[in-house]
Amino acid sequence: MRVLLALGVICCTITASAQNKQLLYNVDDLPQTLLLNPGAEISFDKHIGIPFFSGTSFSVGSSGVSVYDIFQEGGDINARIGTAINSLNNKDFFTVNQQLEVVSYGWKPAFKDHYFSFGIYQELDAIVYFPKDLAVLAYEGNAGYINTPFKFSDLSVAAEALTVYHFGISKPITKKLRLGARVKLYSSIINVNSTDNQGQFITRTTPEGPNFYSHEVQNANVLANTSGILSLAEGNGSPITAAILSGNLGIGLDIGGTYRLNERWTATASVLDFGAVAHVKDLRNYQLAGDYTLEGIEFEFPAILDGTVTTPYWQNLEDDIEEQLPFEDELSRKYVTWRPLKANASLNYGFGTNLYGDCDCTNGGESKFANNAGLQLYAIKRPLSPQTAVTLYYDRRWTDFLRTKITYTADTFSKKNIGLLFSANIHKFNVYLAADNLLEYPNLAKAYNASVQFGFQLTFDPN
Amino acid sequence: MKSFPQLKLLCGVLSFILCASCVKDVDFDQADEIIISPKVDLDLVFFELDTENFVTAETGEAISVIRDTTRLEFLDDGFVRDNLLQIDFVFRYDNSFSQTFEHSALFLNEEDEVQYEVTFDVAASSDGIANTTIYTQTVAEPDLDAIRNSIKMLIELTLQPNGEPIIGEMRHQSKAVYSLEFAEL
Repeated sequence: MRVLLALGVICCTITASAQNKQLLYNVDDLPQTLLLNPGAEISFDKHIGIPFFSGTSFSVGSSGVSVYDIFQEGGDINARIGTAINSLNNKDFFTVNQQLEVVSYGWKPAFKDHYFSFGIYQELDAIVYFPKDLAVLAYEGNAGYINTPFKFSDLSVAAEALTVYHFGISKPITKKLRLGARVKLYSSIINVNSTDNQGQFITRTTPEGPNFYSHEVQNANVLANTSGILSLAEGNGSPITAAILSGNLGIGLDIGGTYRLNERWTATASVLDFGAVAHVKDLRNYQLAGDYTLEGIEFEFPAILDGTVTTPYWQNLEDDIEEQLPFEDELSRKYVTWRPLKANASLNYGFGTNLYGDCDCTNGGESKFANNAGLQLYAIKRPLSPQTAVTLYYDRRWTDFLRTKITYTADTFSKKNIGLLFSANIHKFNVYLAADNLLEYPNLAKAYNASVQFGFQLTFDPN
Repeated sequence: MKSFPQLKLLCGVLSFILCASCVKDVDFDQADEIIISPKVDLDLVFFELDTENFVTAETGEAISVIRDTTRLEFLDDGFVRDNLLQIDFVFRYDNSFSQTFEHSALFLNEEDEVQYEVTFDVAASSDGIANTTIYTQTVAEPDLDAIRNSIKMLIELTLQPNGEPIIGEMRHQSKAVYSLEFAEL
């Protein structure tokens, strides 16, 4: 346990994140654990998900501000918005993730040790970073920020809805090691991606210049790619058709494994969604690129100079801007998006009653303890930086009927995230419900994030 | 009928969690009170003039009035018109002529009818070194409608002869701070 204590101290020094399914990870009687680690140990020989109900998850989070922070009763909401804009930075983000298992099935072939599983799920994933500089510019204007650059790189958005077809295999390599892999076919329904933006806008004082200021757009390259939206907006497409199989396809891979260090200690690790989607159909891209400097309109007094009619200054200004800082809104360029790569790892300590008994030769001397405790690490690659989370957990099989897992998670959203999983087996029927941030349930408005997962399925015990 | 006491326990716990969860102490109607009030500070026009602008090359006669005009299409923009609270104009002249000039900034509608006017004197230089004149004009309600009705700005400079040679240079800078307010988002 000293190892766990030491790792617990480490966890307190790590900041971390979301879309994390810490409550389902390493729960070997839930087929969903195979989606988190294709090489996970499992305690069933077959599973059949109830179509559309076998696995539903929803999580929403904000790293810097809660609903209560803005909409609390009384006071001045505008002052609170101003405070929030000042306190948030460009690394703060808002995120939503939702998954719905449509089909889930798995089986262990007779007299074999490996386990096959396949299924279909739909996923919605979005992350919007707080565009600090642009928010300040919109909320306060440039008047109080002369000589302060507003960076376009603060604009970073990635959102996608897709259907995932997957097939996985899990296989014991040795008595101690089990490995698994899952291949995925992604069918993008909708994608919006605007990351890696560049450039800035600045209003500079110019004591030696022709006017008070120089308003400069420098090295702008702001690009927003979309796919799947144009046809829906124009009423030419069906989201159902796109959900079944769109023209924007990708492939991905999950890999993972479980290693028994000894009778009581087990380590696991997985990497999920190493893959990309090629967007080639139903595209619309928006781009603003170039440089432009505005110092006002220079009067030439042409009637005095050469007797000509008034110079069309405004038209010239608009033409210059369009030429030097063109905004393209009818582009149709192919692009590729990488799926948010995720990684999990855990160290588990089993104790208490050995459910296999002290000596059970039919299980090759393996152990399965009623109590498990350990540490889980989670990371997800996001556009600006990876987000991480660390979880301490206690997992208890109370009876053949009931299993619970309680977690403490520290991440970007919260340092007091307590989660709870209930998994119940009534004969072959399994139902599970997991939710985190339970301490915030008395008033979810104060929560920085919340997630819930539940599902219904049939699992078939080897016995 | 077989009973499942554990199931009842599970249902009880889940019911408790669901019933205990709520969103309270918040008032989403406050969204109607959200006001965004940016101040946008933008250059307006600039120019540099010298003797040639005020003296006819062929005859050497003084040109007492010069003017130029530009359209300001953004004044006709509904977004600006509906949310404009105040404009603070700042005009600056650096004048090395020994003559005083009258500056008039005229805001005109499509029919070239004057809707609003900013007039002030540009101070003369007494020693040939540029003399700086800075004039600010705040336009708020009810005068703001005159600006909203405008689409062009004309600047007119009128030379005030004083009998001395018309020699020198003049530099003009101007800007405006637009105070906007967006409510009922």
